[in-house]
Amino acid sequence: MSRKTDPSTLRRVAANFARFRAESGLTQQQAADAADMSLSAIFKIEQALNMPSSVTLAKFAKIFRRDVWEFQAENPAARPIPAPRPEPSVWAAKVKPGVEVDDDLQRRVEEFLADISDEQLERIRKRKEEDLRKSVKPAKKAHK
Amino acid sequence: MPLLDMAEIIRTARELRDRAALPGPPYSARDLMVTCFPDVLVTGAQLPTGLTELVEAGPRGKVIFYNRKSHPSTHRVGIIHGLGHLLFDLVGDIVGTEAANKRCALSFGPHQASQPAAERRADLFAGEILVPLEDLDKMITIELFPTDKIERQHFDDTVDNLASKFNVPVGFLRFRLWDLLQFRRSNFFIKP
Repeated sequence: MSRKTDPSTLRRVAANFARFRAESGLTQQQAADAADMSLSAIFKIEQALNMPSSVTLAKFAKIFRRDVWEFQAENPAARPIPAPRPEPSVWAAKVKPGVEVDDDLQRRVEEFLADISDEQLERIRKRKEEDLRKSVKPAKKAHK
Repeated sequence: MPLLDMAEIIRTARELRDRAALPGPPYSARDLMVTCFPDVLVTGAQLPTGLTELVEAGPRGKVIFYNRKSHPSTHRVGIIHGLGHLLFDLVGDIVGTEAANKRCALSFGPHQASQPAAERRADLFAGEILVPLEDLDKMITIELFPTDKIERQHFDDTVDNLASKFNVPVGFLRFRLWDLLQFRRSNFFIKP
């Protein structure tokens, strides 16, 4: 038994779908390719000719970086503009004598740095600061 | 600092040691970092094989990683070497590296020619902080790198003692004595 979708919901999903796709910078063809669907399926969704299944919506929510419920929302908020990526770190390393500086070594250094999270570094930093504060003893009072 | 400016390295190192009021030798790398560079995080790590030190500067701050697997005297050298990179390469001006490389090769002989100027500069900086040539010049009254067998034995013993006094690896002290030899030959030495 199939349940007929409310026309207003169908139109809302269609409009939101088209909007989210455009905001993601994808063409209909690119959206179709990303979801492994046909171009005509995308066309039908956006023209409110076909109500996508919940599985399809979940797939596109991931592609458009949206929540599934937003497809049916009245006025879904614009997706916040992602913060600009911070400048990448620069690094220098001292190698042991005889060690060749090649792409493999560079890759291992990059992996090493990526494995250490910002949070981890921040916690180490705070812990050291705390230790330093404790080690600074107040000045002794001069004896008369 | 676009070129390998030895006078600038000596001046910077002396200023930092004075600012940190290091009584050494041995000159404490930790006290220097805490006093002069509290914003630089120094921490040990299991670095990728082949590395003795790694320094990072970027959005998450400045970090010097020393190789925890190394001897503590090597940690000290690694930390100050990393600081040299931070001061001269990663944060400061790096223009002119190619020229510096050429000058480095000319100034320090073929055994150092393959070393990039930035590495050589960081080594010299670490050397000037931990084992100042000024100190070595006063302490070393015997012939440097003698060929006579007995003199060589005595020289090697002296190197071991000095490495212990400055708390640096023997190899690093030899590198400093080689520098001292070059500077004595070139009559280039800055007195305070």
